[in-house]
Amino acid sequence: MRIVSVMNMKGGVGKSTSVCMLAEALASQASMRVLVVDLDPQSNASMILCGLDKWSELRESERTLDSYFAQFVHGSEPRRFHEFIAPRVSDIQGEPVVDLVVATPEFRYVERDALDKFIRQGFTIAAVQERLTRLMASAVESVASNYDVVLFDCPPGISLFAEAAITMSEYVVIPTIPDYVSRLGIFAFRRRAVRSMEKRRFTEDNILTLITKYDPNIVLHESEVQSLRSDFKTFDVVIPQNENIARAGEWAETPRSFDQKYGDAAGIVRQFAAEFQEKVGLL
Amino acid sequence: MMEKTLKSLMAIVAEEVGNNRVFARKLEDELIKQANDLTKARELEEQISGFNPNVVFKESGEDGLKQALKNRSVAALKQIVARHNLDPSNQLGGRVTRGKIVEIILIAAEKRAKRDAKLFDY
Repeated sequence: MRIVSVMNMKGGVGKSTSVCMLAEALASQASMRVLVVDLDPQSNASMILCGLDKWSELRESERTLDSYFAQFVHGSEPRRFHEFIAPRVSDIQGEPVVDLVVATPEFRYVERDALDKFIRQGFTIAAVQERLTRLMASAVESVASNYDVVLFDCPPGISLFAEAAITMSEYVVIPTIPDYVSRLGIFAFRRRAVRSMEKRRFTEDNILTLITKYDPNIVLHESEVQSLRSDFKTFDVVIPQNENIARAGEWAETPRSFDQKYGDAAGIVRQFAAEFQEKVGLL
Repeated sequence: MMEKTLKSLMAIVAEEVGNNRVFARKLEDELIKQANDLTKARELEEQISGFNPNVVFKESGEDGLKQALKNRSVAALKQIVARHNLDPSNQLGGRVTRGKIVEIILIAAEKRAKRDAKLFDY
């Protein structure tokens, strides 16, 4: 089993889209069992993977990541992590194993409440961080045997939960648009990620940059791609700015094939998944 | 739809070529000109495609970049400046010499290498 975080300090670079494409390609094209844990209160990955109705149902029944952590912060009747997992949520035909723990906008309050409560109890921020990391690790360990890959969709910026995810991860994928401002996001995040991962003796080789939203009509994109390849360990595959990838973000009630869903981008998404498997040692 | 439209337009052009010698010659001259322009554009593209002065500077230093720029045409050097946004304040202006363009490229590549080195410590 591999634990991988998808993260960038910058927003709008395609983190959630990359997570969802990857999860669906690994599950439907390579028969892998994938768990996606949405750590972003924006809940984009959750909505993309399970649709609005399912997301609302999970939210109402308190089967969300914030409800899971709230029981440790607010002290409610304990429920196990597997109860929070929504199984086989994808709209791809054949019910591929894409399981999901959804996030909701309330997730940001859980983090704030956790800090508030534990600091009042005399814990330092580092101790709170360690505690949340332990909670997250034991949650994932409790279901680890059911999956080949666990993907964390991290929010932009650094949060306690994102830090916990990085600490647990064997690999970090950083999606980035090939422009200068997006490249700054990698520099800002890279050191912190290495520091967190070094605790488990992982190095910069475990940080993989994925070039996204590439537009061949923007000449500067090509220049930036070359700079990114020179500075960082990058995927060979480049995710283009593509209408079908954008359309795939809208969940369909009637299941569809992988090729129907991703259209002319299906080949690229398959290539991304295949290279991911190779790079993180899942082949 | 576009294909159908083009096909019917081409049929009209072909008919006119058969009936009108002056038009036929004019069309031929234009096609030759277009072909020459395309060849020039391709040759230029070959000189700059895959070449990134920022990367070359980082890997081979100033001398390496100077060497890499040596045999490129002025048109190619101008394209390199534009493609990699090496002259954002348009210091080159209208009248440019080969030496001036090379100088601008070297200065910009060095500045970026220093900036990126700082970013690695960010």
